[in-house]
Amino acid sequence: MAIAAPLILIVDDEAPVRSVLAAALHAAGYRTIEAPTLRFGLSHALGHRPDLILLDLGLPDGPGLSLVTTLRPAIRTPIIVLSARGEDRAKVAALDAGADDYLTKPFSIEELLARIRVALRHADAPICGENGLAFAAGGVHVDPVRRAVSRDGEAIHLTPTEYKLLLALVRQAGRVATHRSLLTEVWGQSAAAHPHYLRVYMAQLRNKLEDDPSNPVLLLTEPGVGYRMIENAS
Amino acid sequence: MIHLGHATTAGSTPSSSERHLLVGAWLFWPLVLAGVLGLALRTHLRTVDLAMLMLLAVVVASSRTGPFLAALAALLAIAAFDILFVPPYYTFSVDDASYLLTFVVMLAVGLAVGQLTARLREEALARRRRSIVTDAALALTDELSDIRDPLVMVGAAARILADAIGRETRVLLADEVLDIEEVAATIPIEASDHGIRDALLPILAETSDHGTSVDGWFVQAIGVGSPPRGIVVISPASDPEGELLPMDMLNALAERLGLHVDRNRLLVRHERAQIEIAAERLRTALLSSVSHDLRTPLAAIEGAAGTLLLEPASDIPTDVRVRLLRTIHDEADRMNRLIGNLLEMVRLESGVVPVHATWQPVEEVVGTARHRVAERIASHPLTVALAHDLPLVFIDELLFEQVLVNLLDNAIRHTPVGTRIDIRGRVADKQLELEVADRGQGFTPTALGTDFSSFARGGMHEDRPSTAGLGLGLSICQGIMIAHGGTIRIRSRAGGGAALNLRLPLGDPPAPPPTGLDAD
Repeated sequence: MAIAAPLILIVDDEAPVRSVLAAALHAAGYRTIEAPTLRFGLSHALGHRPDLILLDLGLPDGPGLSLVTTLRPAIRTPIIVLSARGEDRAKVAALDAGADDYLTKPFSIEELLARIRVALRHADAPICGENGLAFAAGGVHVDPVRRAVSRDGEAIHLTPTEYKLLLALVRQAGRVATHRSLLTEVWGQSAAAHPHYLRVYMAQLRNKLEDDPSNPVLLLTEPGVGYRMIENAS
Repeated sequence: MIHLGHATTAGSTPSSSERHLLVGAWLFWPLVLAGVLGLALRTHLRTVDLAMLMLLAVVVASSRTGPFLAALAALLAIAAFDILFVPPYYTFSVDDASYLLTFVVMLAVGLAVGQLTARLREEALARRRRSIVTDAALALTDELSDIRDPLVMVGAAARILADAIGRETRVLLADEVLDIEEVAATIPIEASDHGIRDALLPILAETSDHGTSVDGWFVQAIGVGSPPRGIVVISPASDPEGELLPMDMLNALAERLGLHVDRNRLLVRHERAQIEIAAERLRTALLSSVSHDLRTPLAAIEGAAGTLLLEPASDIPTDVRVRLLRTIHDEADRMNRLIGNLLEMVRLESGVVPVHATWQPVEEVVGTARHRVAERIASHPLTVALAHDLPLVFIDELLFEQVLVNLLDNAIRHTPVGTRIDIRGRVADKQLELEVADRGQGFTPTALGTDFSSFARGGMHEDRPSTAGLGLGLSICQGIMIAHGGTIRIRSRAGGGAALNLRLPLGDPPAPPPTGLDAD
């Protein structure tokens, strides 16, 4: 039985951008619907129940953020935010409000397709790091059952906080994790007072898990937004 | 706005009464001494010798006093001589009339010495005044030539004048035309309610070459222009007799100060004009470089797309088609970077870029910058050497990343493929020092060591010929570094190549996370 191709909703007010995205997504085997405004976007999102939403933040009839806040938390459809340079605040706000990932315009189609694949996979697959599911990428292996971390087969000793942070990143693997979400998850409510803790512990994690901490390949920085743990393409 | 310089005198000059005492002593003691000595030796000496003794006393006394007191000294000496040494003793009567001649000689000597002393003293005084004026004029030239800030200038001028003249001095300088009300409010002198204010009015109404003296106060306008831009106010001498400089010399000094004020004003205006010209030149250079840099990729894109549209798809060999498409892709990417820099520049220039600084490791921002140029830098081996003990730095990660990306792009663009690029980071002088260095042609000697703004202004095209927005990228770097309280400088590398040196004050990093809570 053939499974219907995933349906992707494109919310963007620029017709050329919509048509290029639609063409690229069709070529990659997805179905698309398009919405030029926030209102259409919301109505399509509720009416067609797409598998994923590509949301431009600069819409003529309102902030893209409001679409995220309207859908969340009731509707879990993955949302990838498309932002222009200089919209960093809005981007982070959308991510903190529950958007799954972001891309800064202009982006390459390969990048977009990779993000879509990750988002769709996360939407219906069990999450690494939860329910004892192990994670492996870039030579690093995380076994949440035994709380064991190894790199190239060699056991790595992590402090409890380092492990907690690593696990938070693993659960979000392939997607961006914002500073705020990581801080709250690892340090709880007191996090706001010590925003630099996250940076310091990330540096420690990189020292233990990366070959060259100043050129990370596993624990990537998303400047101004947060961190992204890469996920082995399977 | 009015700048006020105010200086009081530091040294203490002898007061009037002290001086009188001093003069009295010189009048009194030689005579008394000669009298006593004469009395003691009266029996052993001839009267003529005693006369010589008294004459000596007159010479000593009159050489230390004025002509009037010298005459007084002579008369006293004559009287004393007559009473003490001319028989009959202790009376004014004189037995031998020839002593009258002695009296006349004594008086004549006293008067002559007194006159001579007075003239000598006057000459010495005149010399001293001249040297005071000369020294003060020299000091004004020395100290004021390099001063641009009017507030510093009036302060220095007031101090020089007060030191030289020995009187409390105020110098007022206005950015615009002097406003009498404002001036009166600025001078905190008791006399402002009477005298000075009245004296100021005519001075401000028209420029006068000469100062005015009111109740011992000296007031003179300085600087060309009517109404004047500044005034000098010198308070009365504490001791009217001790007043050293006459009006014409005060005038001369005030005039000299006026020359400096005018010169300084012209200089500042000239420098400002120079800066504006340089800024204009920069704008023009940027504009031409930007329009060139934007059109180049556009031309490539248009050409490639046009070719693809023109020919039936089947007629174009696959490899050519891929190459054309790759061109469109790469050139669009290049344009995007350029436009990004351009927007950043506009935002920096308009001052709307808020710096969202947070404490973070240097390593991280170096990592993101490397990530962003990863594709382009593949052609150049890169070494990164960051000291292990680098503290957290307070930076806006997006802006700082842009600095590093621009510097790396710059190095990639201006060095041949395969040339090594070095990033080095260390702490020096409580500053983070981060350097992006290449082994290219380097910069011309004129660009080396100079401040960045002057580099950006001064012919970026001469320094490195093929500029794809070089000036723009580096200007942005400078803008961002300034916004962080840091600096950027060009250094020439030993062994060839250019090094761009970033310095950032370390500040006071927050406490590291407590490790105790994170024990195993």
